[in-house]
Amino acid sequence: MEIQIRDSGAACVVAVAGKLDALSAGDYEKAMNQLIADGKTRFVVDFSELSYISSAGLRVLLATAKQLKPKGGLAVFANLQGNVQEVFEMTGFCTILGVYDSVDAALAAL
Amino acid sequence: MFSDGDSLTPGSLLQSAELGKLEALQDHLSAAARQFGLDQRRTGLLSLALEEIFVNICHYAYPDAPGPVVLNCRSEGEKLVVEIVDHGQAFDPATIAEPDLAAGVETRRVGGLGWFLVRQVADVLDCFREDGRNVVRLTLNR
Repeated sequence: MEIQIRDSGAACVVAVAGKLDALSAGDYEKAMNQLIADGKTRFVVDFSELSYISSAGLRVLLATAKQLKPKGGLAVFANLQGNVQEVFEMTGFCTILGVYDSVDAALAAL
Repeated sequence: MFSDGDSLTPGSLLQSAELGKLEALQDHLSAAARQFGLDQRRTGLLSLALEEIFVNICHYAYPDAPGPVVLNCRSEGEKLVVEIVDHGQAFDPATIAEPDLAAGVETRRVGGLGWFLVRQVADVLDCFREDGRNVVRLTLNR
C-alpha cells in the first residue's frame, strides 16, 4: 500500500494505492491519526488505485470516521473500483460513509 | 496431500499462521481459481475470504505461537472447493454475531465484518472440527 497526501485547501486529499488489508491497515490508520493530530478534519480519500479492501481495512475506515465525528470532521471516499466498490455495498459502508464518483465531486460535497 | 476430487495443479499449500504469509496463500489460491476458470471479480472476493479466515486463525486458533495452516484447492465438476485447515483451538463461527449493516457511524461496532464477508463470498460454507483440526470449506459454483 502507498499513501499520497495533498492539501487542496478545503480538505486533505489522501490517495491510497494497492491493498488495504490486515498487513497495511495499521499504516493507513497511523497516517490518518497523524493528520488528525496535526489539526486536519476534512478528508477526501481517493481509492482510484486501491485494488483490494478487507474487513481489517474497513475497520480502520470506521475507526477514523468515529474519531472525526465529535470534532465535526468528516472523511469521504472517491473513485471506488471493482471489488472495493462491491465490498462497500455488501457491508453497508456505501450508506454510512460518503461515497463519490470523483475527487472533485467529493470536495464539492464537503 | 491432495483430497478427493480432481486436484488442480496448485493443490495444497502448507504455511505457518503468520500474517506475513498471507500473500503467498492468496497467490496460491488465485492461481487455483484462475485455473478453474473463476472470473477476476470472484477471484478477488475469494482472496478476501481467505484473508478473513487466515487472520482469524492467526489471532484465535493460535493465540500464543503460530501453528500450521493448510490451504487445499480442488475442483469437483462444476464446483471449486477451497479448504483452510488449522490444528489450533476449536472455533465455532455460529457464535459470531451478524453485523448491523444499517447502523450509522456512531453506533456501528468496529469489526465483526470478517465472517459476514466470508458468508457472502461462498455459495456453500461448511465449518467443522475433525480429528482435532478446524476445517473451513468454501464451495463456489462455476
